[in-house]
Amino acid sequence: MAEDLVLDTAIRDWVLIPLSVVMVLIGVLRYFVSKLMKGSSQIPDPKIVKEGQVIIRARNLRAGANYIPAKSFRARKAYYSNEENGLLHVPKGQAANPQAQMFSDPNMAMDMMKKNLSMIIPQTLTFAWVNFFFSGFVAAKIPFPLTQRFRAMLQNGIDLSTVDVSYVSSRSWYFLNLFGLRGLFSLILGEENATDDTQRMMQMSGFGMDPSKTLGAEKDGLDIVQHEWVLPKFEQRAESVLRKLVK
Amino acid sequence: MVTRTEEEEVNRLENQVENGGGGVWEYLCLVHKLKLRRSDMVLKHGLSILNDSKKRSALGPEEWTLYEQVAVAAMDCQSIDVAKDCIKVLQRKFPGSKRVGRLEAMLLEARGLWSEAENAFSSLLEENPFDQVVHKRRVAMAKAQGNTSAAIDWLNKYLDLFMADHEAWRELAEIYVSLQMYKQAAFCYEELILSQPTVPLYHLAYADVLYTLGGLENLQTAKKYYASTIALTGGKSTRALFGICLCTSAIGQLTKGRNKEDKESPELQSLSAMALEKDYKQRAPGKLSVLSSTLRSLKI
Amino acid sequence: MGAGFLVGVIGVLILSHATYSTIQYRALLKITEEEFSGPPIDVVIELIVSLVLCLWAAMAAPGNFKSIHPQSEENRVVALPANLDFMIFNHRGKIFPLETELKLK
Repeated sequence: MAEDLVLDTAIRDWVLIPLSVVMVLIGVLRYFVSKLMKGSSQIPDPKIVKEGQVIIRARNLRAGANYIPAKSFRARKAYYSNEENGLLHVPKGQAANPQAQMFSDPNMAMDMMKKNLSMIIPQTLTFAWVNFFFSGFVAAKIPFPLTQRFRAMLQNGIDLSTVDVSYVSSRSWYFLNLFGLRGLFSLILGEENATDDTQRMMQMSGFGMDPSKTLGAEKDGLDIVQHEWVLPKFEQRAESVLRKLVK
Repeated sequence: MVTRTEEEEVNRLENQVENGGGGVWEYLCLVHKLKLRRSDMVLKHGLSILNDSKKRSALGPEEWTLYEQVAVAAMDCQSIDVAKDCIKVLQRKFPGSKRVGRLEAMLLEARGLWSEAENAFSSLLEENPFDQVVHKRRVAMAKAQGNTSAAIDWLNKYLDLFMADHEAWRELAEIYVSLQMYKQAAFCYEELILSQPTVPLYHLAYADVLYTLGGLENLQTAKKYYASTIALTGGKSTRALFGICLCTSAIGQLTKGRNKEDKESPELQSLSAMALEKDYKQRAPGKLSVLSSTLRSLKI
Repeated sequence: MGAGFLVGVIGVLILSHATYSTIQYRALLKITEEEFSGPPIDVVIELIVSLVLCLWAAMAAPGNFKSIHPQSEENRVVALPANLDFMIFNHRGKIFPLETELKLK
C-alpha cells in the first residue's frame, strides 16, 4: 500500500469544483436546449396507440380470466388470438420492420437526431475538454477504503496499480458526475424534468423494439391461460362471511 | 374507488365545511381526488377561496387547477357567468392552452349551443386526434341531447381505439342498461370486472344484468356473482342479499319438478335471508314485517 | 408510542450493551494476546434478544397495521367515482339554479 498522497489545494480549486459546476451547468443547459428543440409534440401513430391499448386489455384478460364465466372467456380469447383477424395476431411478413419504418418516416429520424444531438454533442465536448486539460492525475480522495474492483471505475486514466483505490482520477470524477447528478437535477429542474442519461441510454437501446413481438408474446401468454372460474369458490366464501355475520 | 374510510372522511369534511369549520381546501382536494360530483359545494366553497386573494395565493400553482375545478362545477350548476369568469382568468394565464380550449368548448356545451360546441371539439380533435377527454365530451354531448344511439356509436368508435379505458366501458354499460340492451351491457360489465376484479360494485351490476336477462344458466351465474359481491363487501350489500334470495327463488321456479340433485349451496339463501332480517332489525325495525312477508312469498 | 416504543428503547439498550461488552472482550483478548474467534455466548444471546425486541418495536411503534382485505370495514368499496369525463350539463338541476349572488371577483 502506498503512503498517503498529498493533494494540492489548487487541484481542488481548479479541477474538482469547476468540473462539478460545469457538469451541472451543462445539464441545465441541455435541458433547456432539448426543450427548445422538442418543437410541437408529434402525433403518435394510431396503430401504435391501439397496440398499446390492446396489450393492456389482453393483460387484464389474462390476469382476471378466472373472474368471468367460461363462455365469455372463450369468446374473448378467440377475439384476441384467432388466426385470421385476432387483435393479437400479427400476420407473418407484415410485421413492420422498425428500420424501414424509421426511414419511411422522416419525422422519426429527425426526432432521433435531435435527441442524439442534445445528448451526444455536449457529452463528447465535455469529455474532450476534461481529457485535454485534466487527464492523468488524481483529483480527489474518497474518505473510505474500497476494494481493487473499483479501480476501473475510480481511476480511469491512471495506469498505476500501486495507488490506493480511494483516490479518484479527474476523468473518473467526470464520469461520476455524469451519472450521479440526477438527484441534483431533479432538485433543480423539478421532479420529472431530470435529464437522466442512464435512462435515455436505455431508451436508445430499446428504441425500435418490434411492437409485433410484444403482441406475439401476449398472444402466447393468453394461449396457455387455463380458465378456472373462481366464482364457485366465492360462493363458499360468501357463505362463511354470512355465517359470521348472522351469528 | 371510494372506500368506506374515504367516504366517511368526505362526509366529515363536508359537514365541517358547511358549518364554517375550515378545511375547505382539503375538502376540495378530496372531492377532486375521489372524482365526486358535488358541484354545488365545490362551486360555493371553491369560490370562497378564489375570492379571497390571501387564501388563493397560498395555494401556489394549485390555484389554477382550482379555477378549472370551480369552472366545471359552475357549468354543472348552470352558473354560466362564474364559469365564464374562471375560464377568462385561465385564458389570461395560459393563452393557447388546449386544456383551457376544452373548458371553453364545455362552456358552449353547458349553454346548450350544441353545434358551436361540436365545432369547438372538432377543431380540438384536429389538433390532437388522441385527446381522450375531447372524445368523451362528444359522447356526453350526444347523450345530453338525448341522442343515445349516436352516443353509443361514438363510444364504440372510441373504445375501438382506446379499449383499455374502463371509464368508457362503464359509461357504455350504463347506456346499454338504460336502453335495455342487457346482452351488450353484460359484455361491458365483464370487461369492467376484468380490469378491476376486486370492485364488488361491478360484480353486483353484472349480476343485476344477468338476473334481468333471465334463463336458468344466467340466473345461476347471477347468483354466483351476487355471492362474490357479498364476499367482497363482507355481507354489507343489501342489494346483493336480496339478489341471492330472488335468484334462488327464480331458479327454484325454473327447476320445479325436475331432478333436484344439482341443488348447490342451499344454505346461501337462508343465510342471506337471515342477514337481511338482522340488518333490518338493526337499521329499520319498522319495515321488518314487510321484509319477512316478502321473503316468505319468495320461498318455494 | 407507548409499549412498542418502550420495547424498542430496551432493545437498543441491550444492543449497545452487547457492543460495549464486545469491545471489552476484545480489549481483554489483546491483553492476554489471544486470537479473536468469536463473541462470547452471552453477547450472542443479547444480540438475538435485542434483534427480536427491535423487530417487534419496529412493527408496533410506527402505527397500526391496516387491513388488506377488500371486504374489511375500512377497505370496503361503497361507491364508484362519478364518471366525470362523461358528465352532462343538460340535467334536472337546470331548473333550480343556485343562489345568484355567487360571483368571481
